[in-house]
Amino acid sequence: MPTLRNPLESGDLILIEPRNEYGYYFIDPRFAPRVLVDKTVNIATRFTTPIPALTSAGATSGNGIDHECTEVDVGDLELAFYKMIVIDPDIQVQVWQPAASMIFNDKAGGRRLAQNNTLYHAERGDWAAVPEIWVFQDDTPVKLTATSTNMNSDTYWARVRFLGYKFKLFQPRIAKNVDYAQTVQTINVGARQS
Amino acid sequence: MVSTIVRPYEMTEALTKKVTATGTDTQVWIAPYANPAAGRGRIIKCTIHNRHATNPSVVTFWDQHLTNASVPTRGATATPLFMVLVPALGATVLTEEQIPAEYYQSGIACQITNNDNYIFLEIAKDIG
Repeated sequence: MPTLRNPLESGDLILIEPRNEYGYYFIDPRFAPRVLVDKTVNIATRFTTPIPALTSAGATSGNGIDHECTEVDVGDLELAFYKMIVIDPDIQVQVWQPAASMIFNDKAGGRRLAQNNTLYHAERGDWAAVPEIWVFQDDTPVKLTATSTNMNSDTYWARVRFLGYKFKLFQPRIAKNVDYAQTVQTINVGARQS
Repeated sequence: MVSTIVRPYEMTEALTKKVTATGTDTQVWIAPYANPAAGRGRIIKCTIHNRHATNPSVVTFWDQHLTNASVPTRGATATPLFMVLVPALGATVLTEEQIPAEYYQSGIACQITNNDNYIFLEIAKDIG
């Protein structure tokens, strides 16, 4: 049975980009990677701000509900890795990090996460196909934009579930402008937002 | 027939309600809408016994928490989300595949048209 494993091990050297803001870090070998149990974030606000029903004009970038997802921030010198699962039907979610830069995009534009391309894979245990994000401290929260696919009614239910791991870091004395060959993984979290 | 297919992140809860007041809004279940629960539920099994000797009963369900006006209401006894006809001195049993997967986000309220009804529901609810 496939499983969701932590992608980094104690002692790994990683490069967090953009390097002019972050740079090189070690996964602190004194702390085991810690599983972050499932956490659910509702992009709508019950029962005051629903996701509006889809209109016959279709979804445009302007008619979704935005949510800065600080619920999955971690502490100082901590890095979090999350798989994202859309658990409610009738919504599609775009992910931004930082707020003006969409993560899952291609030349045609931003790809939208929904049950069928997240929960479907998670239920089958195919974790490699489940979209993932990284969050560094509380500096790089993702922004979620939910758009309804329901043309009959508004909904207060636009929930995304996060599960993953967090890692303690410490910063070695490696110049940020060096391309260090022992780097295990490069992680891009986008420009600092807070 | 055994219910149920419980969807991911749902769990089941069984409840029983004896309803004696005809034509009166009656709360059957309150959804776990308050933080940090933040969930809703759907009926996956419904058993209603009508103990009246001669009259059938019509039982209507809609989405409302009767004692909290600040959470949304969907439907009413005249515009129910789900309705069950129960014969006199008889029972109606419906399982998941016969029940619309309507989500109740505030609660399940009901009315009956004849007294002395026993309502047994199995709810699949999520707790966020």
